Amino acid sequence: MQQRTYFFPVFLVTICFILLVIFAGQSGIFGFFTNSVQSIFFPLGAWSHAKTAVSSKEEALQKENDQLREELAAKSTLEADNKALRDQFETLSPSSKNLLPVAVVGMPSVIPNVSFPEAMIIHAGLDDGISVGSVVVYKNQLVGTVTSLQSHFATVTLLTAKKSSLAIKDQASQAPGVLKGQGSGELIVDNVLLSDTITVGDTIVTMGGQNESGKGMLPDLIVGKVISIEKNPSNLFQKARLEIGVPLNRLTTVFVIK
Amino acid sequence: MSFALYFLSAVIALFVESLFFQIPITLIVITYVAIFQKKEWVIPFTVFIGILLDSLTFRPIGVTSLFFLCVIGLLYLYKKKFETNHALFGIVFTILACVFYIFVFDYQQIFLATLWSVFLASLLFFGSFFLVSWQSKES
Repeated sequence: MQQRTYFFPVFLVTICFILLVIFAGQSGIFGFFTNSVQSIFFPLGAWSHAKTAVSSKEEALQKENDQLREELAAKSTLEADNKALRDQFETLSPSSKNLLPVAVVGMPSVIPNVSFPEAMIIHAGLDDGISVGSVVVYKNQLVGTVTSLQSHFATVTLLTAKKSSLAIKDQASQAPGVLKGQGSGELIVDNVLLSDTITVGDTIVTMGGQNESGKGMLPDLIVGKVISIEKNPSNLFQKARLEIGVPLNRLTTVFVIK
Repeated sequence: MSFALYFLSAVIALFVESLFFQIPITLIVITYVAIFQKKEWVIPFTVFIGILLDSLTFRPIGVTSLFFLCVIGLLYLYKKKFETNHALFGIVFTILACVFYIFVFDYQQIFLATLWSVFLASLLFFGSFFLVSWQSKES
């Protein structure tokens, strides 16, 4: 005699249960469960991420040091003027009082350390005073923005992600444009008018978009340096390809602007 | 014993998928369990693993479980009519499910993720098929 199976009734009941869970989950009642699960898995992920990132970190730091020395030499003459202005307006940005140092827990990608991640998971969440849209930086280099979060962990979409775009400007000529992530760690600046000047080596910074309560993208955060320009007289806009000074996929600590 | 092994495999898969590899490894494990286990416990097992994966990937709770359940449901409908207990069916079905999963959940580098899914599914199904064949020859 064929053994009776109850697969179909169990399946139907479970589908109804899951739909109920999805609707109930909108109210956030599963917060305790998700926090518990994340608290178990993510610390182990943070440890293993730190182990894999540290060997390449020294090389990246050396390269960054060389680059910063060059920039320091070029900008030393401007420092005196800037100091006077800073003293008057006290606009040191981003202020250290507003920075929250957080550990990077993980960076899921198709092949870790080979393919470039589009997002990172950080050890900070609602309970630490951050929210969706909070800006994440490393020194004054923009890293990304918080796109989803729970009580103690959050996902940061990197500025190199395909769905990432923001308003930027050329630091030298103040030419506005739109930054578009290309995935794979690449960035391009688009929608720069042909009449605007943008040259190889220029630093691209954020335009800023803060509202009256201070939330939003801060201005003058470094995005990258122009390495090539695509300028066609028959087009309305010119494009530029950027290089980021900080290896975003090797970071183990970042800072969230509260 | 086998349930504990499947559960451990699924937990390791979702840990790796949420933090390291953006490849549907959990779906591959779930599909493997569903194809070779004809028990009703596969359904709540799938739901629980899906909820855990949602917690770690910041998706709305239940969304991944719903997708997994749809895959299991399709598999069940197919099982009623055709023989499914062989490696080639498992690989083809798993790959198709993975491709849909990659598109639905907007994973990056679709082609590379699909290639990895094909490799892992082939490894799992052919590997277990040869293991079972070798064990039956021994006995």
